Amino acid sequence: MPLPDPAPSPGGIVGAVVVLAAAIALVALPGLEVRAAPQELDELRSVRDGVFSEEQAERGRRTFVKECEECHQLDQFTDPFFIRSWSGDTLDALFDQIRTAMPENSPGKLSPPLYADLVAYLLTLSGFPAGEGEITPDNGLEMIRIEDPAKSESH
Amino acid sequence: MTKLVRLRPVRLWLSPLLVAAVLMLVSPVWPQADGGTTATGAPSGNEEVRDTEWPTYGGDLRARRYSPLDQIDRSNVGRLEIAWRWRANNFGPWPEIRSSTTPLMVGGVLYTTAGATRSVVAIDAATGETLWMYRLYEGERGSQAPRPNSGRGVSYWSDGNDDERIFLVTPGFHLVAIAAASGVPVDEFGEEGVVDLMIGTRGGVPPIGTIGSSSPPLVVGDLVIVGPAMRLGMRPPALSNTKGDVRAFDARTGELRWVFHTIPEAGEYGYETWLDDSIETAGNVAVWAPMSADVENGLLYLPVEAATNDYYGGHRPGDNLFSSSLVCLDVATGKRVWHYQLIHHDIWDYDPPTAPILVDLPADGRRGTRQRQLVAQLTKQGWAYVFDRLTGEPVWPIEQRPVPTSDVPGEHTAPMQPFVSRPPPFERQGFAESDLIDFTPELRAAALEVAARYRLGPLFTPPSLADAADGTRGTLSLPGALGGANWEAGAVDPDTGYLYVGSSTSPSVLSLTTDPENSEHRYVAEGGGGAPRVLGWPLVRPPWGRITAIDLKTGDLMWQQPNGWAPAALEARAAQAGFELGRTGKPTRAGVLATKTLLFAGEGWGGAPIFRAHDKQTGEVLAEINLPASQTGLPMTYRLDGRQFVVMSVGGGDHPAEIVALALPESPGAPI
Repeated sequence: MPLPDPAPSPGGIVGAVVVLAAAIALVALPGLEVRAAPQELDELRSVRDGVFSEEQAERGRRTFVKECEECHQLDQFTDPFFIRSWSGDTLDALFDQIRTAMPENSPGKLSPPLYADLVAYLLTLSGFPAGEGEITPDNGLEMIRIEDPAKSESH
Repeated sequence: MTKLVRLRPVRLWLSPLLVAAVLMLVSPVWPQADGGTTATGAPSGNEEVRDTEWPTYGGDLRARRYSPLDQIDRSNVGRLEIAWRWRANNFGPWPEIRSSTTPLMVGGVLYTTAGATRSVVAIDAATGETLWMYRLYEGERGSQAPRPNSGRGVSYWSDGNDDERIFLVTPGFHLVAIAAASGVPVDEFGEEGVVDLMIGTRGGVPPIGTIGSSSPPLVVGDLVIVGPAMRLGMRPPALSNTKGDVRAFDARTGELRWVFHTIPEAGEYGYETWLDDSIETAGNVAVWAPMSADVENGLLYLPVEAATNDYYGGHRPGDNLFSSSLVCLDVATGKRVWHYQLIHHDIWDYDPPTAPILVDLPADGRRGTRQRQLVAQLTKQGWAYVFDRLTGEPVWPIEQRPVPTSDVPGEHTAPMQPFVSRPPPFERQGFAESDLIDFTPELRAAALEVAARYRLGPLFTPPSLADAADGTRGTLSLPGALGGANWEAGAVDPDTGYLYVGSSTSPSVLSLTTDPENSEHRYVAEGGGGAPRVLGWPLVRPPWGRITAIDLKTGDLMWQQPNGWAPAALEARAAQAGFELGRTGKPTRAGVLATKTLLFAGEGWGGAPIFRAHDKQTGEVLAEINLPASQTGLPMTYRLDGRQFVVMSVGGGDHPAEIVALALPESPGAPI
């Protein structure tokens, strides 16, 4: 039987998946997947808040030229829909996406700080202002919210 | 020729087990990796030993990813635990995160690759102890390699006596023969164990940086067959590109035995399918995916990729044989026996990405027929193409149907494309508004707004301009260029004819632009990457990844299972919005392994660190086993000293690649 297309439902489990869940319950499971807790929206900062420095964005530009330009034209990221497609997410999602997927022929090739620099560069391409701080891998990226620069500030 | 500095492999002390294994191998052991006879007609040897090993990348030369082992079954699979871990952190100049390698197991030793410079490592299959390592230093040639990663593994050859070799193709495109027992290059092969594969390549640009490899060679009889992997083809700088010829070398000496021109030369079949002299500049059309062979019938199967460039074919008018084709060769001579072009004039980057899977259907008493000898090609575009592997005749009709025409200047779209009538596609094909995510009215509206910027359409809707006259900025393509199915391939159960495949439902944007500063091509891709997201969500509705079982006897889809739960970040997002996602599957591609008793599957690169055992008939999940990180290389299995192991490479996020061995707990009091 083809896979049913899940739709959001109170139980979250549909069709044949109910059978599956029952089956899972019958066997001893060493562990189930850990799911992240929702963010507390009040504590979030924004990419508008000067979360990276000019120096960091410049380092990111140099890394982009060296590592990314073979496959990516800048238009892809100056297009306002690029950052808009990430709006509502937090910076860790963008960072993780780039680090785990790029470069395509050897993902994870760069050191985490270089990936953070690339994130800073992408933010400048979307028009976000530099500030005093730097984007640091594994340090509060999940507390920085990505916003659509075309829309008025909203928290 | 680049001067190579060769480092001697580090020889570590031999464990008693390895010594025992080597001694064992002096006695007659099955030298080839397929059933029946070798290519030269020699007897195949000890089947019992073969069934406990994993002597080739795909488990056997038929790429079945199937093992008849049955110690781990539904009654005990929930008790699988980690027997040992082998960490690859310090192989290569940076800790590799994604290792796609699948180890071989021969004679109690695992042979695998590790790190971005593709070291070869021998590991004690019982304990995980490192026995030896080998690395070829490739200098600039290595640092410019188009695939700087550990690749998918190595190949094994034996003369049936005590000459056993491991064959490696390096990122910088050298073929190396290494003595299996010691890790030392075999002097009589090539030049001190090395054949320079850049010598003899064709194309109008220097080969360095344009050609390399990502898959192991295929050893059939005494031939080592090498297919290259080229520089990524989205934005090639030069009009002329290196051609992806497939070559066979003598396993003993390294001498070139034959060449198959995947882009034909004048007078060769298919030459006329490249118009306007485009054949002079055309490149790629390589075989980057693993290959397979039918040793009994002396046939070799090549999944041949698309031509440069990926999304614009204006510089290569015509059908472009043998691009995006399944090609069957006489393995002894390299001569074409038959071919089937899956896509004419491919402009979607729909390379056939897996080894063609060879299977004999079980004899069916009711029909009173002999076994059917099939080849199944899994594809990015979501079809399994199934042929009689001796004749190339489709098992179910494949119909040429008209497809949309490109309006990109200079493009010459093929007017018709082959459509598979059966089995039904295992992935969604084509992109319509009904594919958009629609969990909430807000999300639906945002998705429609994004989609309105692009062209949508059925399968084979061509790439379009980033600044098209109608205001659109590209075409949304589903499945995307990364699949559907991809190099993770599938597994087939020879007892039932069930073919299992993991696939992802992830669209691509096919958007063409000019870039005269960087490329001689009239148009190149604006860039790689998937389709835009919508308010942090995937653009398309779930399921985002799945495992499908296809009955090759009937061509029916028997079951589909989601590839795990929703990604954790999306679960959290849904919870904020007050709903649950459940088992949507992840947009990753599951790596599968079939045994006599079970179907195993990890979630693949980017998935959750969970390994599952499924019921082969129903897909039901029987057990979930936690891994240290996500499955990234394809799982394999073997039995050693009475114990069955399931082994795979894992990694992701902060977790560098490692190899993990699962087994049932050893019984108390067992000797150590």
